[in-house]
Amino acid sequence: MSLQIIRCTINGQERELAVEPGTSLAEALRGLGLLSVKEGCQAGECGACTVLLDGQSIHSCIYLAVWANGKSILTLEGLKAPEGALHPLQQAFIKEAAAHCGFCNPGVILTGVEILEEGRSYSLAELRQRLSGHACTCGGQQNILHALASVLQAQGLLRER
Amino acid sequence: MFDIKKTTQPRSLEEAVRALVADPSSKCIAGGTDMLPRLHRRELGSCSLVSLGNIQELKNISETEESDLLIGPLCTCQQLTREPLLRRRLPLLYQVFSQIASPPIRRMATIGGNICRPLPGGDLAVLLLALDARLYIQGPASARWLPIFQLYQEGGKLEPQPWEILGRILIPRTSLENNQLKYTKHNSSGPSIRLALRLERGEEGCIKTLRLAIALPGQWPCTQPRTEAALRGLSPAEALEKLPQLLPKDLSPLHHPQIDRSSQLQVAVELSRRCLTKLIQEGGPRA
Repeated sequence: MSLQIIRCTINGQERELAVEPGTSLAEALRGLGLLSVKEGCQAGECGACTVLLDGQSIHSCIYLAVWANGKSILTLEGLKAPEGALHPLQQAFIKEAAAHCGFCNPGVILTGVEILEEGRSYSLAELRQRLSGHACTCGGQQNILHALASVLQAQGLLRER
Repeated sequence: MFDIKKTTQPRSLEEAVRALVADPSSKCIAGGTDMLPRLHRRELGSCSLVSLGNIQELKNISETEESDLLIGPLCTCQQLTREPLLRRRLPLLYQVFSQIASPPIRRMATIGGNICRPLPGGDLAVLLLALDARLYIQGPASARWLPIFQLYQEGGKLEPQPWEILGRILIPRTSLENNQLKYTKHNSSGPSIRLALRLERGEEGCIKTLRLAIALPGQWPCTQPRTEAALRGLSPAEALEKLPQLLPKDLSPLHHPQIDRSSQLQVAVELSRRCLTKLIQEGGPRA
């Protein structure tokens, strides 16, 4: 089985990777030590492997690494500011106690970042719908929703309906 | 790690067909939301993939000179929910797309993948069957148009050949204009039953064309030509009365551990009756 070379930007750094044709993006990223990318269901259902690909959330467990050639990838490790400060959404997760076992958190936070970067307003019902690709088996969905809603509210982007 | 020997990423439809011909064991992959989990579950053996994601010509949506709607099979569900042309010409399809799966899956899943792999998940096959969609199939030597119902005949074994690729989906103007359309899905417990009904009304509101597409559990989706023919020319009230008698004779449900045959028939008839009732109440366009 021959290796294929891909070039992509991962967390702001240009990287050149040799990957096998059957390697998923989640496996390739974890192979680089980016362990915030969790391998859960490996069927695109739980959302634990979510990363941002060119700014859009995808399930990296059902995305081939060879498809990422020329793309820009953001994992939770790339979210931290250079001086180490947490993203406002991460701070909101702490404040709202949205982290239980923590397994789903990296993926949910990245979807939250995608929502915040869109800059449009959301209602709680729309937020629930947007987070529907993530399963929190601890039952922490309400706290996660409140954490995301609190950041949107601080930005004046939370609608009542 | 998926059991994939090689992945080719062609940039044109012709190049993709050549890659399939060069390695007959290879398989086409579009968004991968169905195939990659199946590879993970080892439902598919080791294979080479021809990945269609870089073929831009398969991602366009347009209208023909005859006002038919042309949809590239690599259009993702998300792309289709944001497409003004589709929202204007076929709002129901837009609504169905915005309800499929979760947002990240909608971003990856394609319409072509959904109709080429209708069992068990395809939400769109019945809808496109009801619309009499036609498929542009590109082969190594030539291309041809195929009515979508042929894709699902005899358990989907007939068409297309392993070295052929779906290049375009055409929804004819005659199915879009002066037609009413309903789509519904029953899955409250266990496997889903999907149904789409298209109604074109003629003089004095009588049924000019009725197209009824149903997907029962474990079966390929299909239209019901005998029921459709028997209801043609009837008044809405007569059609509503006859539908529950005609449809069960057309359907052959398979045994399913979660929903027995008689329940499948009952659900299919009730869904059809409700859809037809709603379309009649809405009082759509008449000839």
